[in-house]
Amino acid sequence: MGFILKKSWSDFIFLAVIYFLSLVIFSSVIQSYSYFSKLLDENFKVSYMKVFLNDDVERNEILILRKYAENNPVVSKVELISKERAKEEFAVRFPKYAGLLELFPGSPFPQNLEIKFSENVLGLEVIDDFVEFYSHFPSVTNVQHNYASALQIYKLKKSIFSFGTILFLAFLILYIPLNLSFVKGIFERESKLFFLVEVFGKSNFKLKVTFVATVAIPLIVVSIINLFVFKSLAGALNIPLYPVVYLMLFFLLLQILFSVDVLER
Amino acid sequence: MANKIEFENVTVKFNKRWLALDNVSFTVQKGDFVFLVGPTGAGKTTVLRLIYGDIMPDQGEVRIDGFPLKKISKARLLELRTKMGIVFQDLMLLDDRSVFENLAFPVRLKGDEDLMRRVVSTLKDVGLTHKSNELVKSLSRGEQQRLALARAMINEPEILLADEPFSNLHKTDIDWLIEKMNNYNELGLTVVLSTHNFEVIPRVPRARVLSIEEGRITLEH
Repeated sequence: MGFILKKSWSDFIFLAVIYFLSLVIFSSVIQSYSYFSKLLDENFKVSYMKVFLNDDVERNEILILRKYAENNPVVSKVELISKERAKEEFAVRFPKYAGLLELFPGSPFPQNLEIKFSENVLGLEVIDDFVEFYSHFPSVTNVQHNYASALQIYKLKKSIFSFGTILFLAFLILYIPLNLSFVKGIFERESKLFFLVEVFGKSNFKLKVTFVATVAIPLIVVSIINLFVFKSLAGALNIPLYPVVYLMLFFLLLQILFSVDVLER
Repeated sequence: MANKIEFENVTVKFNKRWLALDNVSFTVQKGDFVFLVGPTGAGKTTVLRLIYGDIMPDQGEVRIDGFPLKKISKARLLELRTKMGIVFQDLMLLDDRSVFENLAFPVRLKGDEDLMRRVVSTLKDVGLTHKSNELVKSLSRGEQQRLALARAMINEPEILLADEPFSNLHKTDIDWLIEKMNNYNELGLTVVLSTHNFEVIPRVPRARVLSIEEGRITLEH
């Protein structure tokens, strides 16, 4: 019986490498996804926009610009920062360079409209709408926001999710034929042994038990990987675990059915 | 004791269509040397497979020592097989194991404690002592055939079944094999051998010949 296990060692190594690599890839994907999700949340929590204005902007125009922001439900606060206040804020934030400001008569900073957004504003297209609206006004010199970096993170997160999903689906589709080829490989190679044992007048029941045990090991390994992946996915996507466990059990059942089919033949 | 082999109106169909044996009846007595001759696909291998219970007849009876194979238990069938030595057409040797291991395999299965002595004496008997540690795949076809015969004989069976043992062999190897089987038969072993090589038949003058064509016995003498 140990003969089969001994001879199947190279198959075990091959499968172990495949499954280990899969585990490493899935872990990396899930870790990256979780990291970027967290980063994105943090970015959105302190989301803001600054609309820089010309010095000669009229009060009526400021009112229009301000009203547009105030009427939008995703905006929590709108404040006009005067040139003097911008100077004061700079001095507070960068005290080392406060002396430089003495070189300028008045304030070198433009007045600006500071817009703070509600927490967890996920509609990035809202920001695009703001930028586009303000860019039509000649008194607006520049629009800055911290969504540029958030947008990059958001795109990266979406790409990672798509990549991970495709990879995992491919793994689910591939692992059954992969395990099956492993089972078939052992069985075809050792079918002579199965036959000869009975020809020499002995039952090959023990041999079959060994064979099933040999097949069960990669099955268990794959199930553990699946459980880990499903659990992590469920955590990342904030969905309950039990449906994915059922899905995993379904794949396990499929694999067992395929293995039994090989033995039956 | 597994000595008498009886076929009574045996019919075998493969896939419920192809008629491999059609109403075949014959008896092999203890110590007989029987040649099953006929063209490829005539049904010779089917007869041998029926004897060691690898397949069962669709109609009729195959009896070993009066026991119908269809009705005996799996355990009893396996016990009967311990009385038989089989040389397969494709030899069925374990290619990735040594000559010694191939011979030791059936002895181990039998649980014989005198494994070493038995293997060594069998190796000597078939002239393969010097090849003992070599892998089967490194042997010539003639040497592999000797090993297959040795493996079939190592547990001292009462019946030897050989399926086309002379295929792809040189004349010297054929001469050696038929001589060896003749010797075993003279010592009381029942031999049932399938072949399409008619030249070997006169080498065993006392042998019976069953000629099979298209699943029927066309000649018996």
